[in-house]
Amino acid sequence: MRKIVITALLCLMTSVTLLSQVKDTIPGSPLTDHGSRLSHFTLAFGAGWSHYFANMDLVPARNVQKDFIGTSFRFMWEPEYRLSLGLETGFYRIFRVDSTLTAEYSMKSRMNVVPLFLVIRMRIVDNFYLSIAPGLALQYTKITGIGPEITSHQFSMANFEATASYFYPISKLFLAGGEARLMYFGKTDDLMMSFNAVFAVKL
Amino acid sequence: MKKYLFALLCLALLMAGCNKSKEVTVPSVGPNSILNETYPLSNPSRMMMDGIYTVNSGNDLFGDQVVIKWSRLKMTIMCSNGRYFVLEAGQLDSVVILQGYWRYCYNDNTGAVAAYIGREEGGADIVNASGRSQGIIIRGGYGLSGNVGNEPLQFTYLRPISPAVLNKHFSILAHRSGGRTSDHLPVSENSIAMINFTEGLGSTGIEIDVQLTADGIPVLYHDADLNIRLTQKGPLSGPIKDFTYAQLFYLVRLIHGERLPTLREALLFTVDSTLLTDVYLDMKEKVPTMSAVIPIQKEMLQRARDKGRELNIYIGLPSADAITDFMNQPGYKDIPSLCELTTDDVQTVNSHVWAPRWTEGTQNDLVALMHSQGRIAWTWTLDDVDWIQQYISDGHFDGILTNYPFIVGYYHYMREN
Repeated sequence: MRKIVITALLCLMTSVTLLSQVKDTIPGSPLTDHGSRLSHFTLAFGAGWSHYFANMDLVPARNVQKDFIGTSFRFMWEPEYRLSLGLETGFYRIFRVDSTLTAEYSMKSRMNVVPLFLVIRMRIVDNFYLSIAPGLALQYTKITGIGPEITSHQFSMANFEATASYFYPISKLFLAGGEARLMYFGKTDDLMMSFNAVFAVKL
Repeated sequence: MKKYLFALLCLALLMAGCNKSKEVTVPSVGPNSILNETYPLSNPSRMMMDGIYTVNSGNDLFGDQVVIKWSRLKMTIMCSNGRYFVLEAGQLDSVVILQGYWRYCYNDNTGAVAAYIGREEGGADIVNASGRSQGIIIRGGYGLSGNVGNEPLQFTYLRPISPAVLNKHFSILAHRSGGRTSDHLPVSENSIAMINFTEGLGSTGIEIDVQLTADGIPVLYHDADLNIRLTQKGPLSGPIKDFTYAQLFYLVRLIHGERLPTLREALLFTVDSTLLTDVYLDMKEKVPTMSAVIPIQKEMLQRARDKGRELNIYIGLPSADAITDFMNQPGYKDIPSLCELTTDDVQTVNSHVWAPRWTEGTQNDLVALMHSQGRIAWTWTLDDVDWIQQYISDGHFDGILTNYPFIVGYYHYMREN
């Protein structure tokens, strides 16, 4: 099911992207309507609910805490076209597992991720954007309860993100909106989604 | 429209390519197997069946000749082309019943096998352990595509395995204790279950990968990190050296559900429960590990001697760092070791085994040099049928490390001397 959802989303992203430059510059986008702006850059910060699609073999999904607060930071270059390019990072907790293993041992395991995505975004209609992003991710695992507390980290090299965003201009420089995001981390085969409230500023 | 189709095709390939593994079910004749009704064969009876057989039916798939060799629990039929059978046997009223499966090592082709040796076609001789192998005919059927089937199968005894070959100590070493996870075997690599399974593939020895946990316990694991290729998905991921053994014990399962074994558990099982004769400890760590591994090696060698077992356990020296670590141990020249570097390094540390990479060639002059010094030479990791055939016919190695022991077994046991 997860793969079908990812495939459908990526198909949508790609098919739209393939036609992205057919038309010429389209004025009127809140993010590309630069007016008196000095640059074509935007900084966005988001925070909101994230959900992990638990798929562990060893821990039943009902025993996995899947819902957390996640944050995202995005820096975009927005020329006067439908397409824009940028970098995105953030911080998300993927899961937390609290288990009683034996009378002797209980255990808490948490995994966090700091992704770094290269974002390719397209304005579909006014104020509404879709983006896809491949990238890297640094994953942290923290274990307490069995022996000493241990923090371990690893890099995940094959990760993907798909995002749908809505931005409403609240002034000439500032925008507010929301983002729905689907993220896949290849190293651990983890899929998560997030819904963030986003605040953006034109630089 | 073409753009859409192309994008869709690319994405489908991308998503399909991310599948971590595919299960290959071991074919079975079902729960009502006639083997449940049979009596076990004695060792002399089993050994009578060892030999070279002509393939009368089934040679399209299995070649013109096969080697049959019994191990501790199973009968292995080794073919020239990478196909093999793993069978169990029993006898009922002087008829030998054989059941199991065949498999092709280079893809997932497999099928169930059911066969028998009739009373007048060698069955009575086998059951009575008469010593007369000539005349044994194995008849039966095999399935295709994983199913039980009725493709005809017939093997006729041709000759025994040459006594010169049997008396020669040639090691058929199974990589990662039997084969890689990517070979879709029914048990996980570097596990106790694989050590128990590997003799059925024709192995006489194993290579196992050794790493240290955060609390200094040597465990068997190949990769540097816990990952979904080798382990079931759980709450732990990251470099294996970051975690204690207790954490690995409770929170990690190998891909087929086994626990991560300690080196001690693995060697204990090898000594007590198998007939394997060689163990090659492939030291994966870059940090010093010898002081943790050598006492276990020493204890297990002593245990094998106490049991009258012929068993060699060699510590692998794959790098200059490992050699330095090894030479810091007291009495290192007397510790059985295997050096993967040059013959000069072998002499420096007094390794018993020289083990060059197979791509360096047969190097018969250097192998002869090692032999002249009372050492032996193995090569690794050789998986291609043609190369295996060439190394066995032209080379003078004393053992080959492979993911496919049955191929090495076929070409080794087919030799006349």
